[in-house]
Amino acid sequence: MAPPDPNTKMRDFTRLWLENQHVVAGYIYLSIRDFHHAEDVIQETAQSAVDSFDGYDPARPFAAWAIAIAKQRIVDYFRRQGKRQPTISSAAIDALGEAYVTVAEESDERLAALRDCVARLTGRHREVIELRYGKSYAPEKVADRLGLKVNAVNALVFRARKALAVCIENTLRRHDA
Amino acid sequence: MPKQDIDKLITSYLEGALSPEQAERFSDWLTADPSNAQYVAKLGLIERGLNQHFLSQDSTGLFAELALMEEQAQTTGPIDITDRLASESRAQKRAARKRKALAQTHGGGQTLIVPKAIAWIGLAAVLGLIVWAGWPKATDKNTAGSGRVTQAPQDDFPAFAWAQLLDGYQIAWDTDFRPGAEGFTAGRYRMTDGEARLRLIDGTHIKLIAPIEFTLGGHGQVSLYDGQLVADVPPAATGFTVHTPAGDIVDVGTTFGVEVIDGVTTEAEVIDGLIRVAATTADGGLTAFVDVTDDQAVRLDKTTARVESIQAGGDRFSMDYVRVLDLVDAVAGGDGTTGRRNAGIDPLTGDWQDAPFAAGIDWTRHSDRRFHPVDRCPLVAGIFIPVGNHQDVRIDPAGRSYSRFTASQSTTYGQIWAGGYVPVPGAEPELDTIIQGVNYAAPSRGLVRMHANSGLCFDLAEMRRRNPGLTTARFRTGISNREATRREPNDVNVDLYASVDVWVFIDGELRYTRRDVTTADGLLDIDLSLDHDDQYLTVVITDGLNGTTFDWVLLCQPRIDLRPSDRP
Repeated sequence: MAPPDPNTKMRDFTRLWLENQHVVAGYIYLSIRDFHHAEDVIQETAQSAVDSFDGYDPARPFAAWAIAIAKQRIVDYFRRQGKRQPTISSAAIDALGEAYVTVAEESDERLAALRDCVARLTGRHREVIELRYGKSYAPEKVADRLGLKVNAVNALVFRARKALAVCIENTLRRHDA
Repeated sequence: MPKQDIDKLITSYLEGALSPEQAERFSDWLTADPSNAQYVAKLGLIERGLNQHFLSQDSTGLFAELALMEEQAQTTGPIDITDRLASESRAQKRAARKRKALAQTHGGGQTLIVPKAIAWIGLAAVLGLIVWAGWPKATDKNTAGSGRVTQAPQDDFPAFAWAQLLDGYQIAWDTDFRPGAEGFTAGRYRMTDGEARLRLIDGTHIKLIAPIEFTLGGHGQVSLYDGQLVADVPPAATGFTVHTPAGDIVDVGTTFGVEVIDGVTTEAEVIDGLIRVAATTADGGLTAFVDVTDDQAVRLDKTTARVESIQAGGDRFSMDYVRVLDLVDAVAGGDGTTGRRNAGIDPLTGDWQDAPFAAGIDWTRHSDRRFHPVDRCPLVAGIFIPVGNHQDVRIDPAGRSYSRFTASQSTTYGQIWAGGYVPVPGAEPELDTIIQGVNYAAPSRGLVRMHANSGLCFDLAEMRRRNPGLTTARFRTGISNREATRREPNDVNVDLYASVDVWVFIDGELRYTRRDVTTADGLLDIDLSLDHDDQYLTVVITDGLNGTTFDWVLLCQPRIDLRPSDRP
C-alpha cells in the first residue's frame, strides 16, 4: 500500500481544524482567561494536533480529539505558570474539556441563536455587553462609564450571560419543536 | 453550595479573578457533577461567541452612539446653561399662554396639517431643550460624565425586556399575545382581563386596564391599538409617546391617561402636567401638536384628523387600581366583565330575555307591588315597578322599602334593556343614543334603558364575592332623559310630560335624587362612593308625577369601580 499523500493529509487536517477551531479555541479561552496566553496555547495546540494527526481516527469526532490535546497543552501552560496565578485543578480542566465536547456538538446552532439573542438585549444588559465585549473594556472601565460599582458591573455581565444562555436554550428548543 | 456562591465563583472565573481558595472550591464544584461543567461550558461558549460576534460587527456602525458619547465627553465638559434655563422658562410661559388660548378656542380643533417629520422636528426641539435643561442633574448621577442625558436603564431589568411587571391582579392574556418566559420583550400584547402596572425601560410607569392591546419595542414609546392606559412619566423620560391610530400623545413631564375607542378615536386626559397631542392625517402625517394641561381632555379623530376639546372625566384615569364592573353587562346576564349587550329584563316578572319585546304587543307593564329576583343575572338582585301615593315600595332583597316615590301611574313601559341599540315599538322613532357627541350604544360604552316607572337593584356583596381581594369603591353613571319623539326641549308636550325623577339608594338610604330631569338636561353625572360592606344599590326612575309619556331614560356607561380591599 502506498503511503498517504502528505498534501492530502495536510488538506484534511486544515479542513477539520477550520471546522472545529472555534470549539477548541473556546475551550482554551474558557480555561485560560488571559487572552494573549490563550492565543499562545491555541497555537501550541494546533502544532501538537498537526504533529499527532497520523494518530487521529477519522471515525472519532475531531473536536473531541483536539480538545484532548488542548487539555494537555493547558496543563502544561499552568505548570509553566507555577504558583504565579491560581488555577483550577487538572480534574476540573478535564471535566470542562469533556463538557465542551458535548456542548460543541451543537455549537453552530448555539452561536447562531446567540446572535439573535444578543440583538434582542435591552437596557443595562445591552450596555454592559457592548462595552465589555464590543469595546473590550475591563469591568472597572465599564463601571466608570456607566456610573456603577465594579461588583454591580460583574453581576450585570453575569446576569446577561445567564439570560443569553436561557434565550439560547429556548431558541434551540423552538427550532427542535 | 448556595446558588449565589456558585454564581460568584463562575463570575470570578470568567473574569479571570479567582482567588486560590475560590479556585479550589470551583474545581470541586466543577468535578462534582458533569452538568456543572456543562453549564460553565455553555457560558464559556457564550463568552467566546460574544467576542466573535462583536469582532465581526462593523464597529463604526455598532458603536457609533457610544463613540459619540466618548467624543462629547472629551470635548464638551460642563456648560453654563443659565441662558438655556432662562429660555426654557420663557418657553414655558409662552406655552401657558398658548394653553389658555387653546382652552378657549380649540373646541373646533386644529386643522393645520404638516408632514409628520416636520411636526416631530419642532416637538423634538422643544423636548430637547427641556432635556438639555436637566443635564446637570443627570450627569451628577452619571459619574462617567459622558454628557449623554437619557434615563438610565434599571440595573435589575430583565435582559430582553422593554417593560417589567410591577404588580397587578386577575391578569389574563390572549394566548397568542402574552409575555413569555423572558417577560415583556419587543412585541404585541393583548390583555383580556384584570389590571397591571408595568415599569418601562425608560422609567415610565404605565397602568393597563383590560381589555387592551398594545405594542412594546421602542425606547420611550408604546403603541396603543385598543383600550386604556395611564402613564406616569418621570422627568428623565420626558418625551414618552403613546402612538395610537388616531394620533400621538407626547409627554412633557406628566401623568396622563389615554383611551383608544374602537380603533378610530383616541381620548387623552391630563391628570397632572402637560402633554402634546397631534392627530393622524389621511396621508399618515400628523397635524400640528397642541398642548393639553391639567384637567383638560381632548379627542383625536382618525376620520377627521382633528383634535377637539372634551370634558375631562373626573377620575376616569388613575394610576390606582380600579377594576370596572360593567353594569350593562350585568343587566345582560354577565358578571360585569364579559361585555354582553342586547338583552333585557321584564320589569314585572324579573324574567331575563335575550330579545326585545315584540313590536306588536303592548309594552306597558302594571305594577304588582312586588320585588322580583332576576335569577339569570348574578349581579342583579332584583327589579320592581314603583308606585307613588305614599305607598311602601320594597327596593331590595333585604326588605327595605321607600314610600315617597313620585309616581303618578303604577306602570312602566318596555324592558329594562342592556344596549347596544335601544329597541322601540315599531311606530316609535329610534332613540338617540348620541349624547354630547358620544355614542353610548358603542360596545366600549353601553347603556341601560329604564323607562319610568321602574327600579333596578344591584347586588354589591355578590360583586365583592366574585372579585376576591377587591372591594366596591364607586358607582358611576351618566343619566339622560331621551324621550323617544325627539321633540325639541321647548316643545310644549315635552315641557309638560317628559320629566322624570331619578333616585339612587344604597342599602335603603337615599344617596342621590334629581327631580324633573328632561331632555334639556343633557347628561347628568352620578358618582357615589361605596363602602366595603354596602350590600345593595338600587336605581329607580319615576315619572315625576306628570305621567309616563316620553320618559325614556338611559343610564350611560353605568359601572362599579372595585379597588383592592387593603387600600383606603
